[in-house]
Amino acid sequence: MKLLRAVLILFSCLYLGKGLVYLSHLPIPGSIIGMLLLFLALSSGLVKGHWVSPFVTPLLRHMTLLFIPAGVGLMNYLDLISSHALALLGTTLLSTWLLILAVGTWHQRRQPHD
Amino acid sequence: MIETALLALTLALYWGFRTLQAKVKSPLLNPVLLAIACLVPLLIYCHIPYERYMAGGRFINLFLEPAVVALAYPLYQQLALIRAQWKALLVTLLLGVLLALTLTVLLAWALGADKTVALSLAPKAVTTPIAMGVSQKLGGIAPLTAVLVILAGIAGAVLGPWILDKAGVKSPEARGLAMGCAAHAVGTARMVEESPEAAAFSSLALSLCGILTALLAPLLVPLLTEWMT
Repeated sequence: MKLLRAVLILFSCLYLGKGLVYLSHLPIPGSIIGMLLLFLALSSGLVKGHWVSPFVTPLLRHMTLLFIPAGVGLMNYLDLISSHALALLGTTLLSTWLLILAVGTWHQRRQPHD
Repeated sequence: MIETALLALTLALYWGFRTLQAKVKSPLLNPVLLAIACLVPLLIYCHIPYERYMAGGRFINLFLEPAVVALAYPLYQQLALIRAQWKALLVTLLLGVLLALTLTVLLAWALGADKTVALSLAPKAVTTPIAMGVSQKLGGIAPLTAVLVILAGIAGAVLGPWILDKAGVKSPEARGLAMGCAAHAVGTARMVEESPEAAAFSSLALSLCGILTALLAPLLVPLLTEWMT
């Protein structure tokens, strides 16, 4: 029952979000609006944390599983990947490392020294 | 029949590699990367098209969007932390997201990518369900984005902490934000091993950068790629 309530709340936020995106034509995924709606509901006290945690906790713990079927989709793009290998690999690796360096250095410098 | 078997195999591979990673604790042994590396050659060898695999796989895909909504929960748990220093956090993460999008598109262009590839690369710093949604909205190839996101996460988890050490970034807040901003959930999992404080800031950056990217990418990326072919 507790799981059912959590699932219902999550899907209500998701479909409210999707509905809002459909009506407003905003170029944002409906799931993001759903996340913002759930965040507002939680921080305003409208929804209690323990109402959603029975579904949210296992969902987030196994979030990486959800990436597998999507990732297997790369098999349809093997030609594209091999013909753009340098651009894809080079951009992904370099930008990730540069970004970590930039964000880390910037935030440490801005922080008040304690 | 075969659809159900492939779904079961996907779950088994995930469970097996997750157990292995918990024992070995190496970021290179990423369960997602390993499961994909097993499934793709298998499907190609057996001449099973992706669409047939997804007949079972879509049951896993059903949870992708709810997972994005679920990210509201850790964000809510860190509400006090965010309230205390929201200005500095917002500035850092906003600049981080703008830099991530610009840097990625410009590097892609410099390395000879065409427009579709650049659009698929643009949202690769944020967590998969958001990145795939953004990629689709932009006109990129969502499954390609999914793979790049995982690659970025692993790259960040493997070398990120070493880069931060070399740059003298010791503050756990700054380390967490950097890893969550550039390497999403995979980087956050790496910060969990480092300190609870770094982990909290990393998951904060993961959620906020996801939202900011979803909001800003559809406005900024078309401007950056307008002149690309």
